[in-house]
Amino acid sequence: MKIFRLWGIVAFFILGVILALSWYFVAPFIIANGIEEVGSEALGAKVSVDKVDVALFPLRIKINRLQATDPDQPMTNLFEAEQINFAVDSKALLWKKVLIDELTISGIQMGTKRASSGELAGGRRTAALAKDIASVELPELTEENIKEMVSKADLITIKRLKALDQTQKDMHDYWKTALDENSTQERLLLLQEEFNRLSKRAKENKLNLLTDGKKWKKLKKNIDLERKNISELKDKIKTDKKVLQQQISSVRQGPKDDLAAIMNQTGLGSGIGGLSDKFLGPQFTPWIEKAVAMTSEMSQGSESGSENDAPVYSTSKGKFVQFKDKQIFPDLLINKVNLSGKDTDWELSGLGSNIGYFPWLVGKPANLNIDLTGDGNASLALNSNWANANEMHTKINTVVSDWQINHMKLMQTDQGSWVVNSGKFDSTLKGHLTLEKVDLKLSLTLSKPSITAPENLTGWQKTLASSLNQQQQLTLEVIATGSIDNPKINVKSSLEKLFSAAIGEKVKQQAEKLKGKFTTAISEKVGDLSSLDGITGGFDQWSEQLKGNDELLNNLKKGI
Amino acid sequence: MLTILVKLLKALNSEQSASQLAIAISLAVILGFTPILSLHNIFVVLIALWFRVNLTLLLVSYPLFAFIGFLLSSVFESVGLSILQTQSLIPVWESFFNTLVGRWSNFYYSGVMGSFVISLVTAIILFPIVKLMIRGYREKWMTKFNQFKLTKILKASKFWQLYSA
Repeated sequence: MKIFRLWGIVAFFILGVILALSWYFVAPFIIANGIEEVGSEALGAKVSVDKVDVALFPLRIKINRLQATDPDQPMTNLFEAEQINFAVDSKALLWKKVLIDELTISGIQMGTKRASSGELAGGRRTAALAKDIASVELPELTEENIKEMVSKADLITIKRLKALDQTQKDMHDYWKTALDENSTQERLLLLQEEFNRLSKRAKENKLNLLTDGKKWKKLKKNIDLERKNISELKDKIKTDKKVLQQQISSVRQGPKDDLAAIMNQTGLGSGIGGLSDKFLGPQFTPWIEKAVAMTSEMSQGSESGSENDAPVYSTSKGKFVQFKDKQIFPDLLINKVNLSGKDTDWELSGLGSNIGYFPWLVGKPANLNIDLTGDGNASLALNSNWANANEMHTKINTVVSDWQINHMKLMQTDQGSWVVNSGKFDSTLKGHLTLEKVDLKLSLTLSKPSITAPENLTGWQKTLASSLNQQQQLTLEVIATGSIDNPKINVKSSLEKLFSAAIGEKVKQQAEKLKGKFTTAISEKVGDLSSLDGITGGFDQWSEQLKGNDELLNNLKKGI
Repeated sequence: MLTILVKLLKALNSEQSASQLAIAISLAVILGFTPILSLHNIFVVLIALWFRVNLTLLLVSYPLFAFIGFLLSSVFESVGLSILQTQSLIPVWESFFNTLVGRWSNFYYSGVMGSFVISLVTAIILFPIVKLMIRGYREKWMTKFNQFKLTKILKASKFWQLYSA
């Protein structure tokens, strides 16, 4: 019987050729579709590609007319590139690595008109947030609401009181054992008796001093030991007293912290600052979250147990064990990036180098420099150096100077669009970023703004709109410092003053009115804290006891 | 369901050797347990087409093993991870990872490695067992089985005619 099936092998190769050919014809559509799907998802508006050309020998990809819609203006493109052109190194591709020697993005334009709407169903998340924020209303709370809020709140003061009570009990138990009067007195009595006995023997016969030499030494040693013990206990008393005093002061601070926490829930916690944060924060939040998630994923991606283990990464295909790769270049490496584009008002040029993923495998720092010239000047300089997967240092320096703004939408609210008709824009973003720490400073200035607000505004929004146009400068400064997981963000803005003028008095009155009511409700729940002082009284008594014992031992030692 | 049963009976009652049928089951285990779009599966398909393996039995049993593989995926993951992290084997995997075949094999994914090793062991164990079972069936049970009413009905049905053609 024949064991081979000839038609089978022919069928196998025919199948292989058919699959390869279909991939070649389908690849441009797969690439275009991938760019459109991923881009649209990231931007929140339609990203489209006219055509993708794939040449096989050498492997070269040309993406024609990439358009990214402005999420706030669906009939306008945020960004458009006439052509994106790059060749992929076939040898590197055999190792599953994409090595691009030069990536050229030409014909970059911004703000071009679209033939059809680029709106995505569901819209942009930040636009929806801006709407919510602009319609923020001050809370109107009744006395019943306040009592209910306080009764439901998990008060910090009560937690701290419980902790204080526990510490006090623990300390009491410890000192009760350490200063047990019977055993201490017993030991002291024994020492005194021994001292008296030896002294008596010495008085009877001076030669006994020589024969009892060892016993005197032993007595002295025991006295020293006892005194050392007392000295250590004295130190501990001081430490314990300090700890207890700190806890007491933290309990005393409790009602204030509780008040701040509850006021924060109402949006009146830090007065104007709280509202300003509400106004400015959420637009940045999704991006900060993404950046933090990405960096923490990079730094904490390794799940390996010991240093000898190959690192393990969780991927969509399961766990990936990263063995030492002798092909020492990253999975994606773009040696050089060229950017160019111009419009009637501006011209853009940019150069980048050593951009790769994973970046720590590149071995050289990644650089990106972009210059934009027009009415004003703008430049971006980015340098990112990865020594290894856990050590990154990125420097960023972006400057926009004297840029003329014409008809730019500031935000969209229920009442309509807020548009900056004219103004000069200056901005800087400078600082450093590592996987552990962030130190960035962003300054934005809009000089001589002319802002058109929706017509049917009322209340504080109307006051705010008129104040905006009376300003010589609108400024915003954001400083982010500290740990990357929990950075300290400090926002200073002239907008805050405008808010203050618009709604400040109302907020102040409301906050003062509520503050008193909350304080009373918290005091009722927490109880009287004035008796806390008496808690440390025990320490004085214990100190006295130790002092008495020490004096007694000291006298015995002098006698020796 | 009936179609599968007919296919199975036809394969069992065919004149093909027990080894041809047993190897079909073994290859179906590898195809079913491991991710279908893996490099080693190209070789499995090549073997199935080149050698006179019973393709009907392979195609019929593949979904069953794919389902079992889906249920066992967490086991594959943990077994694969332990194999890949065995200290003494790390130099081997490292050298393999740095070959072209190794790079495209995806064996450095714990799921692929675990499922491949388990499927290979299962296939090797199943081959003689299935072979013995088929021989046993053909020697002791086939004649009796053909006398069953259900078998007769099936053989008289359109399905049987269709697959006999």
